[in-house]
Amino acid sequence: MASPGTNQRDPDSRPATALVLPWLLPAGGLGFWFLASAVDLLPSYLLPSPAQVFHAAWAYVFAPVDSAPFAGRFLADAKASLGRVAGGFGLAALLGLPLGLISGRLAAMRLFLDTFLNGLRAVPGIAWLPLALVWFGIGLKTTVFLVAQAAFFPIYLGAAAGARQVNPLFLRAGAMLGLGRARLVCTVLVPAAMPHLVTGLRLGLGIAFAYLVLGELTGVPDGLGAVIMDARLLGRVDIIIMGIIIIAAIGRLCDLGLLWGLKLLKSVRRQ
Amino acid sequence: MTSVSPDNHAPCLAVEGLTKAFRVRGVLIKALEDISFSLAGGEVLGLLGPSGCGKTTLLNLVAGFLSPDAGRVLMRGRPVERPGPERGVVFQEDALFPWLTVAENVGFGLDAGQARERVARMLERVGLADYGHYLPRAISGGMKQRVALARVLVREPALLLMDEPFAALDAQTRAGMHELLISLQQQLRQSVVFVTHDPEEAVKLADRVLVLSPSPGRLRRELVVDLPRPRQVDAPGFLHLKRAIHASLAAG
Repeated sequence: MASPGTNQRDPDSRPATALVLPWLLPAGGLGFWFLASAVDLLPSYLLPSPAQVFHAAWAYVFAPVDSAPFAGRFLADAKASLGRVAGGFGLAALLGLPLGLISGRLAAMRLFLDTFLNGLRAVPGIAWLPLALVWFGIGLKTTVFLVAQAAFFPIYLGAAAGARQVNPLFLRAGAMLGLGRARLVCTVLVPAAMPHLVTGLRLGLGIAFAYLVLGELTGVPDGLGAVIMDARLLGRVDIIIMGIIIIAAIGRLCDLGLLWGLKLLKSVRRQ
Repeated sequence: MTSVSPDNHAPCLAVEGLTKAFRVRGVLIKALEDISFSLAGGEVLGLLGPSGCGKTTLLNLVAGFLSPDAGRVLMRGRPVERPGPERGVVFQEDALFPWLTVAENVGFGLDAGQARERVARMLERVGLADYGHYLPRAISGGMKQRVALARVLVREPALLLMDEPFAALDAQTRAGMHELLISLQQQLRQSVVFVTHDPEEAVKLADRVLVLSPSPGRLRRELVVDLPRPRQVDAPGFLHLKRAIHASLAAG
């Protein structure tokens, strides 16, 4: 039995291991990269050295615009890409969360949606690209569409699984305590399904970045995916690798940001 | 609200000809057949029977979680159609919301204005005044059931429905919960339906015991427990009633 004043230690917050472990794999990869370019494992036009990539990144982020190809474009590209991700992911969450929650609770809704949605889900995202280009043209709308359709499925499936697996006792308890349908959904169903909702949202955000790049490979003038594609045409492998690393870093930061934002909710923090 | 005055002897609950069947893999299984009884205000009813006799189904019908195939449930003359706070349920399993603290669980759904004070008073009554800020996972099973009891009683229900609420607790904790329940019931005077499979628990708590027979559940016997409180489990009258219940459970 716990006594008053006992602190509940979060197992993830042990200081030393929590600081070191996450960086072991990235540091190992970087080390291998240094080694590989030092012994000329691959010619530098295939795998440039870390120093080369670092210089390219420095210019990409800090040099004045137009002082060299790609110089100073970072802020504008990141802004464009993040806007597209936010738009597509937001749209996916807006549709996926309520539809998932409803189909997780109502068998009729599940029967109504499941065949259609699972059929759509089987279509690889890239198969949408030609249609999206015809419908929306090159640019913002196509990318947002691709991101939204890809992020929708994990969000929808997470919400449906969460709603389906809610302990029925919680819903009975809520009804017994005098709550009507709408308040039961907000104060019992959603908090109880929250761990699944969080998983679905995080998977959805991850996939949103994948489809962001796909959407930007099609000839838009700005964005992190566009940079990679332009760099391929100019034979700048250093810029391609830099772009991949920047997307990885921004993707991870957005995941952390999402998690941090969700932790403002009690039902996320406490489960 | 629906508080009960001590001398209110109007029938609080009336159950009339309740019948319920479930379809299990295409086969219709009768859980309850033609159950009738009534309960006065402030009365404690023990509902006893072997597992599978439909005790929990009966409680779920009274709570409004299920609707009957035939018959009806009346609360002070009004038919029960859905769950509601005037019929508070303490479940057998832990049904506290894990994302809320003890105090938040007890105050769940109450108007914020007066909730804080009422919650504090109720936590004090169940002996958990210092545990309001704890999460359910950090407290013991006995404490969880005390929170569950407080969460229901803070709404001043006319009827308290308890489905083997102490079955998962160790003997000592269970005895403490019995005392707490009896003392709270004598202060607050709500009616209680207490489901159990333990004859001793039924005789200890109830004013009247209904014994159900299994598949389908029917009323087999009614016994009035006319013993003064606090009840001694080794008193001759207590042992006599316990034997009578054992005998009617064993018959058939």
